Amino acid sequence: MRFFEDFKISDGLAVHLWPTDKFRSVHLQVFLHNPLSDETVTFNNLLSAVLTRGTADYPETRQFNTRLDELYGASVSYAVSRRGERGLLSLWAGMADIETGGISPIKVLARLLSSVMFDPAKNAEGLLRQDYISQEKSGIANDMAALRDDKDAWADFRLCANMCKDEPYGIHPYGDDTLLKSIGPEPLTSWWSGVMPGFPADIFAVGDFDVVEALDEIEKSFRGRIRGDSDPGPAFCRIQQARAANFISEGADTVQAKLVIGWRAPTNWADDSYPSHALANHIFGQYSQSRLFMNVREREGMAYSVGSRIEPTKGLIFAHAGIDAAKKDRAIEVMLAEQKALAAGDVTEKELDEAKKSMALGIRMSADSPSALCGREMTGIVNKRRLTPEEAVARISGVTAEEVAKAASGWTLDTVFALMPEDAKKEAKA
Amino acid sequence: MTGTYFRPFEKAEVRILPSGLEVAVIKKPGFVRKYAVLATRFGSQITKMRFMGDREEYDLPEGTAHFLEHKLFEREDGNMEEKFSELGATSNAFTSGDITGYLFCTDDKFIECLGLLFELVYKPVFSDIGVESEKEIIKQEIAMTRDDPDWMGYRTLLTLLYEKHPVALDPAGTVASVEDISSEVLYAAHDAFYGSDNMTLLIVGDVDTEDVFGVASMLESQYGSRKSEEVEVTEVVEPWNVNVTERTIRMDVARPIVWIGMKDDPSRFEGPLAKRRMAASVLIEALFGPSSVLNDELYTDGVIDDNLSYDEHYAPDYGFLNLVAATERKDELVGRVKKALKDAASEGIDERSYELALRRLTGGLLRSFDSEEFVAYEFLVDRFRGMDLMERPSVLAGIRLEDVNDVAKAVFSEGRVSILTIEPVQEGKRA
Repeated sequence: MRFFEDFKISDGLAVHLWPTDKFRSVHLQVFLHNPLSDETVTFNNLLSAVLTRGTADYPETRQFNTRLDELYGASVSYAVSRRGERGLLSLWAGMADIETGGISPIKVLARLLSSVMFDPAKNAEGLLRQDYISQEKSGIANDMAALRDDKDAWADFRLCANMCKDEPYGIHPYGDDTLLKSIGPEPLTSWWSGVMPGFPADIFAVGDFDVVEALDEIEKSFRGRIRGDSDPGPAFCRIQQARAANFISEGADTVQAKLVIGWRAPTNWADDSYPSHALANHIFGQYSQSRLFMNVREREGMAYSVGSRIEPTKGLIFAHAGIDAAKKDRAIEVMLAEQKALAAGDVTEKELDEAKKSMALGIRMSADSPSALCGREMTGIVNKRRLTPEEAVARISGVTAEEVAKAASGWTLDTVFALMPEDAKKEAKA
Repeated sequence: MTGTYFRPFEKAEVRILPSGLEVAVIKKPGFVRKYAVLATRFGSQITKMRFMGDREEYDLPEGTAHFLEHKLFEREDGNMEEKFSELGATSNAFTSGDITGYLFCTDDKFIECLGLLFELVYKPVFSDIGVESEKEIIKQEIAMTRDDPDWMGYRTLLTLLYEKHPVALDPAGTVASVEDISSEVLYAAHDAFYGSDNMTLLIVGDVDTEDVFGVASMLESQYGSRKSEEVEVTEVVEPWNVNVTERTIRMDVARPIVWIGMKDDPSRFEGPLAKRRMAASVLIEALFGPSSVLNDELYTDGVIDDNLSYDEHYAPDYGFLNLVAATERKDELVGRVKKALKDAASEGIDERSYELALRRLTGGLLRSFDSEEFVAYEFLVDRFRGMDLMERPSVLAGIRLEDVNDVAKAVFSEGRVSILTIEPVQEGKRA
């Protein structure tokens, strides 16, 4: 089933509507495509944080939040994310499916999100407010520092930063702190008025609305405001030459060691080879009987948390395990050996069948969550190959054990990263 | 718009089977996933019990309920997760203070999976070797939580609030207590708490209600007709005042994180627990929410740079509120929060803040019904604590400003507040 009806408002501005009475809330989300870089991530993050502080009609943050309360706790939020080397700035609004003041939720949300993006609170000179900019700069600087508080996220970031240090994919999720410090009202305002509207956009709405009304409201709110005429660049880049694998260890004041391993897989979501890579990853570390789970956790008892994932746009495989530092070498050995076994064709029909069913369930279940479904659609849009859940399931159902082995044998080990407890590091040196 | 009240589309249909097993079905039309949880009224808070007729108390090491949850998946010829995987389903389990739940989700193999769920929960096979090897996995789970500032903040705050009540115990136990768990302990706990009359089966999804009751009855007679062993659970008397008013721990964090806990007294709950909990919920929404004066001033003055996080937790024998924020200006944060608590206790919440909080909570509640996980977990926890998720909207609509101010008076007073600070490590030393 194709959930979304697609409409094109103008070049660079597409709308995707799913009218359904399945949910008790209505969801409206704008995705803006841009090239992933320190500049886009830093500016987009700061801009979104400032835009969600207040609008021309509700300029003080408390007034704005009070307005959201009046709309039965409507929410406005944002995320700066990436698909491969494509940056995505996303802003969304959601509310319970309750009519307020005789106005339908979709109309309320379209006006609300449009006012956040295009009618922000400004000072007398027409610039974005200095006080909001200063506060949000400080907040983002703190978020940057606090990324390290979550040791799994920190280990993931350090792996990517090392693995992709010459590619945009390796940049920090919040951008560059020196650039952040330098941004004042003028450059941020010109980013808002000059750069942001140029990003090509996809707008999604999910909820119990009339399609004609929803399209009309979205068109009224966004047409002419999003130009969508800038080039978001390629969705991914690949390093050409093979290189020797890197082994990196850093310290933290922790109890447990966090191990993360990255491979490069020569595939992309749109390729016909992608289903075999995705299935290989699933067997490797993504379902309850996966190789990593059964061997690192169940057989060796080395980890509670262990698994793997695939980045579908750039073609990267990441495995992770939280382990006792003393067992680092053994854990690396077991994890690498499991990848090699898959590559050597050690795949049973039973595993293949179970992994296919498990993937199929995951794909179909995305239809139970508007944000998960919109995220899936965006992966398709960025990679220029959209698939309904049924098409995605059909694509994996024909994959053979040989194809899985062939896919896994194409993975090139790139970087092994260990975040080690400081005490263990000291002991190792002594 | 005060008093606006929306009944969710969903209704829970509940029946009790002859064995005492409670079966509840919440239909979610159009949802792909069918979700089932079989849960027992047994969690980490029970550490001592006495079998009827025995004189001696039986000690359950801390972490027993959680350990049992892990090991119930073990079988002589593999594990039960594998059987769910063969059907293309996913299975999982969770343990908290007063509940252990086993669940699966599937789209097209619901009946077969339900059979496996009964087999999983009612047919334990514990081995000494399996128990020993699980200890290493659980120790890594404990190690993982020790590195997680959110978990450590919340769990440590509970130990400051509670002197005797086992709500303060870590569900996973400790590295030492896990060592004391044996297959004998696990069988004793299973005998005591996994009888049908101590359990609830909940189904959430696009299912045929009558079919579910029919299959559950059949499975009950096949697997789950045993009643629990009669046991007495030792109860404790918890003082109202907090155990410790202030403490600092150190972790590898970027800047200080402050947790403030506020303790309610169950003996002061007037009327139903559900009402007290919802009044507390309105109180913290009005006082700490994004549109509150306190949040706005702290944010505007740069004391915090993210909205305050807050939550309430209520059961028949405890109740507390908590607030958390990261800040470089701890004393200022604590001083302003304490002043806001004092003012709320003496002057009460204003009418406008109360109305906005009601609206926000009403919309939020309605939206959260879009998550099957939310519906399943909250329904079971509410039910085990004598409340009803499906009645939350009507309870909320009935909360008056006086109810809210009663909670403020009771909770925001001297001796009922604990403050925990997680400070960044200094000189590589962890407290």
